[in-house]
Amino acid sequence: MAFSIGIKKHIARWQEAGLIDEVTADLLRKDVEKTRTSFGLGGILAVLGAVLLGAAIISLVAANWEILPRLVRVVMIILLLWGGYVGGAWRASLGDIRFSEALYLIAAITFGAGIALIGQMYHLSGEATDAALLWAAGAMIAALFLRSAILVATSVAIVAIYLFMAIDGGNDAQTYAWLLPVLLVISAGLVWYTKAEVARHFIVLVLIAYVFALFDEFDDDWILWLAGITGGALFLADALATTALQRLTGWSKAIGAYGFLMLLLVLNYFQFDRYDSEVSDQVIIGFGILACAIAGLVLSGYRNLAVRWMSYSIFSLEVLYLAFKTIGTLIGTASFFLSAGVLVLLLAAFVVRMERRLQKKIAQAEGAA
Amino acid sequence: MFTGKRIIWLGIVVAMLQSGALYAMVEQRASILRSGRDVILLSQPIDPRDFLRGDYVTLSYEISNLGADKIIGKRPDEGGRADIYVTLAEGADKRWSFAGASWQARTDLKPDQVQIRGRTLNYAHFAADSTYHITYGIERYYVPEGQGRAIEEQQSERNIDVVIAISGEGDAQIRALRSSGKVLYEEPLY
Repeated sequence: MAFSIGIKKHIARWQEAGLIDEVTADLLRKDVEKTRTSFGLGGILAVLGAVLLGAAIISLVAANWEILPRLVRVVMIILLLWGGYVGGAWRASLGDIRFSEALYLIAAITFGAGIALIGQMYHLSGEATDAALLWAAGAMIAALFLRSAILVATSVAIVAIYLFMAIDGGNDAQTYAWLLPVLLVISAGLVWYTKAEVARHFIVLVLIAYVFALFDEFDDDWILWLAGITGGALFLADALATTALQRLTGWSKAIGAYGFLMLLLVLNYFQFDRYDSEVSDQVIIGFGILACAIAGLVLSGYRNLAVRWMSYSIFSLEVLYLAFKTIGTLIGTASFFLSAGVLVLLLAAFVVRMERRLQKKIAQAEGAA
Repeated sequence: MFTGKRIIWLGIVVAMLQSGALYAMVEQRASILRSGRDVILLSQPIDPRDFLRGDYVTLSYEISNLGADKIIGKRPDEGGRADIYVTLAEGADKRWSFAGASWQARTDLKPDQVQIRGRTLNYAHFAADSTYHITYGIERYYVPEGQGRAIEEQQSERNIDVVIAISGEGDAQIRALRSSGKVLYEEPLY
């Protein structure tokens, strides 16, 4: 929405400056109108409101309020559930996507609150993970039936809650180790079916959390190495075979960026947690990280904004870290600030030069296309 | 996103499925309360500091920890948690206590015995000669905000009896909390 307002200003300015005529300006305005996402600020606020209402419902259940008999509470939950799903479907039938999605979200959260309420009524001390799984299954079925993008995102969020509970319980590693990938594959299927966009990011984030949970549980370095290598391979796939990956997944840039993130996370973990006793080991891994950052800039920095900024950030942090790890301990406070200042200025010069170079490369790429 | 009238029917189907799941949960527990056999177990304080976590009281029992040598039958081979069947018998003071444990459900129970199903909490195949911690799904009692203190104090004097309904399959459900014969809380069916 903000983007379309900004671009309309530009169109007006170009028209005034005589760069484009009125017909072109009108065409451009119509095109902006048409491609504008239907899920602007209003949609975001509707989702936020729904999340807040859902939180209120859950806390009301958790408070175990005695004034309302529990049967009344159950009936209220069921009514909310029906109101949310049927009301949301009614809005959808009228073409009102925003409020239909918000109502679906309330209903899905209410289902979880209902499971919690019944657990409380009958003092079920059993597995919290089972409750989370039932909740996730309910949300996934609803997402499938109603073909709702927000319900897919909700399902993935509940899967994240399940992972958290399984880690917290400490007794379920054998189950979540295989169940979580299955749940994420189902979620990916739902993403494809509903064309959900936000849920894709959720899936990747849960997957990264899963890798580290698995590593924490089984304490095997190869889990991280495998994840890091896979991440690097995905980054290279996006950098070198963009067209193919884009045709295959329609999400090439993000896949490359998340792969890059995974690789950097793994290398950072090894630097800080595994090999932090020997400075020389840290320096070796540090150079590996710097090499990755430069590879990120050179290979896909000119077209992948996320990779570009991750590369800049990690490069700067790593240079500063290595500098202070190796020479920082030898010098006094004043010279510390002096060298820090010089180093940051050098990094700034590097970023500015790099940006200029990348802009040239972008222009070339556009010229070629 | 579907549109049109069909979506409303789909909304109704989803609402029915999810309320059905909630109803099935209620009915499963209510049926144990309705037709299960009642036993009384004495709850044990674990650590007075740790009783009140949020808004539930943690309950522990004699049968929550069992030595591996007390369990008969063949231990399941696969990893993870395992089902375990504990036999209870009524004592002179009306309280029920441990009368045997088996990895498989027993069919030779005496009429004055009841079988309760639990699950081992530590990995069953790791602890060949140690103590199993076992949960039965009756380890929490949810109370309205701020009311846990009273139960906590009673429990530190070690005289909270928990009335438990046990179904034919061995599933347990808390029915009431008592202290020296006085009912503290009693659960309605619904």
